[in-house]
Amino acid sequence: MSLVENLVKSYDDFKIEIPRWEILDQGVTALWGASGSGKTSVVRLLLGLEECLGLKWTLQGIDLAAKPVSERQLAVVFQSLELFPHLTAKDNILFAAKARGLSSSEVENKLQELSEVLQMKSFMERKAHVLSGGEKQRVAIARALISKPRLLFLDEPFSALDESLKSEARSLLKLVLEREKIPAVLITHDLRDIESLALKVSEIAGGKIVKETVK
Amino acid sequence: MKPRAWPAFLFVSFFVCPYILLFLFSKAPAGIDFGEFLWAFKNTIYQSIGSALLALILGFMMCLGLFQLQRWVSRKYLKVFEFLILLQGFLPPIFILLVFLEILNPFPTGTAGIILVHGVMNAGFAALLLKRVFEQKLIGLSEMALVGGSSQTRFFISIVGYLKKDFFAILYFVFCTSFLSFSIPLTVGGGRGTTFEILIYEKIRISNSWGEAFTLSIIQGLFLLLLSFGPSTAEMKSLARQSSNKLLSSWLGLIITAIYIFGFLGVLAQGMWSGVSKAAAIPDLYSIAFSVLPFSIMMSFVVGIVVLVLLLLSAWDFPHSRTNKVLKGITAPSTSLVGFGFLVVAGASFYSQSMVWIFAFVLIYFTSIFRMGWSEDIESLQGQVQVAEVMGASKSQIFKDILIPQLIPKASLLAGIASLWALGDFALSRIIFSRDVTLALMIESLMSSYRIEAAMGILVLYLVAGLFLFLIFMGIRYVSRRELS
Repeated sequence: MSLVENLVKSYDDFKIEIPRWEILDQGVTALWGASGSGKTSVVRLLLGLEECLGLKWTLQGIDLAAKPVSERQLAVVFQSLELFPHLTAKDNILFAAKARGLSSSEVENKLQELSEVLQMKSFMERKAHVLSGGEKQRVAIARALISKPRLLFLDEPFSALDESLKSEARSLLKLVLEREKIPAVLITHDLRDIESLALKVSEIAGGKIVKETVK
Repeated sequence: MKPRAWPAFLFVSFFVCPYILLFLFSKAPAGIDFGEFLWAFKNTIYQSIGSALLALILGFMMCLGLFQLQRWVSRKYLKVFEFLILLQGFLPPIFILLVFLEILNPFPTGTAGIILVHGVMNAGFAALLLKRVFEQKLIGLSEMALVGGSSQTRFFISIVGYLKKDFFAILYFVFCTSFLSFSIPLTVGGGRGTTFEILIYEKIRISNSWGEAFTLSIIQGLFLLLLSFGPSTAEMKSLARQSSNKLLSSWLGLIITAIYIFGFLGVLAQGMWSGVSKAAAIPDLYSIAFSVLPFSIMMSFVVGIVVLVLLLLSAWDFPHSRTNKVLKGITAPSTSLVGFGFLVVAGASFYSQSMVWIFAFVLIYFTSIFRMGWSEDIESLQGQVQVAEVMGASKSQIFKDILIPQLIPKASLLAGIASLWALGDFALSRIIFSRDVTLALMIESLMSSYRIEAAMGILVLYLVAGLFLFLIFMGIRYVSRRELS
């Protein structure tokens, strides 16, 4: 279990106030809530993209909040995916491997494995900006997972996909997370995401965790 | 100092160095003639307000003209017209000055002349800004008013209050541009239209009163600092839904737009056509022009390269964006001050004067280039940079692999524009060089001695050289874009 303490941040007309929150260290913890409830702010604060004084976040015995963004060894898939459009699918993934300084043999094996599980072989050499929505999403997930992060954040990862692609994407994500044994925090407002992926659900409203359910 | 703070520090140092140089070379501020100061200040304010009002009125009419045009032509052709309408504001001032001097003889020098030139050259930009504002705010309202049977006059009277902030932002933009202008008052200001910039110039060049000039430029700097807190103009962002109707369009506006675009181009083309033979009739004029051409091209090319490098450097500390904030907030010091400040250190050597000219030109124009959508381009990559940071990518990896490849196409375009401006500069060159060593200086000399047709003849060479330079930078843009796709 990873423990978040004193996650408090005031904005102009809104406040995130989470004194204590437990995130599973295996499987998916979902942070569920309506638009404007503070889900994305929580992710940005935990990633370190916004400053949060007094935050303590213990994961695997380390206080991640005390580390700079790049040293937290986390990964994220944003709603907008944020692939590097000028790079190929493969180079997008290799960028993350290079950032973490993985050895070439390690990268080769991992890339092979991820491209099989996520069915990416046919488009690995194509530039990201020409990929379809579903393909882009698989690249974003592979890019996030290649460096074996301590925890993966998924911020509304399926919202840009058509309904017909969502269920396949959920199954693929579930499969790859189980295989890689990487815990994840899923940010969503879609109950179907929770049904298919989450082991624990934390409901957020008005910047506060109001209800928690463990499956 | 943290490594990411270095670029911001370097940029700030770059912009304050003329003041420091003057200080180091014992040109301490001195008392000024208050009456003279008030007179120049009043002139500057009058001409800036007049230019802003003229640009807004003309821009408003041309905006309605563009809406009229939009009812008939496709978006592709409309874009061509939008480009042409911006031409007078984008080309170096030497073009519009020559066109005015060709049409109006005698030209009304002084405040009226300055207002006329500034107002016309900024009207195209005002028209496009207004068009974006109308597209964002008035399409739905105008359709509703049309259905309700409103007349055009009644409609626009009713929305003045709604758009007053937008109108003010445009007025303010032109006001600031005119307030800082140097080359136009220098050419058409005459003795009666002395502006703040010209007063600083005269204090150094004519009276050799460096201390007074320094004090005046500090006052000007403080005033500009105050102006920097003013409103910013609307973003030049197109909307997906482009629509036009009777209330937003005008025949008169279309006629004004046509005169604005084709009148300018026509006079320019006709002037150059007849000017070539006039220039050829002046002994050695073309041979002198050809002899200064390589130097003009080389200097402008170097300016383009320096601007390209600085633009990319300004992205280094993104998204923490200290540099971004500095460059958005800072205003370049007075042209005269920069020119003379650097001249103090340059000495009489032609080589050092050339180096100083490049440095000073970039200093004066870099913020204008930066504000042509550059920071928005950098900001559009924020998500990618944040994801890369979370992945653990280093600053240099993000800069080399993410920022540079995606920013080079736009940076090349802006560098191309900077090199065109540099090729057309005569104001700063007049301060730094003692002879007519560039094409623009030659043109300005001809213009000042009222040999307008000969100047037009030499302008042909400028166009060829400018095209050559611009194509080099477009080549860089093309190659980098091809790499991206």
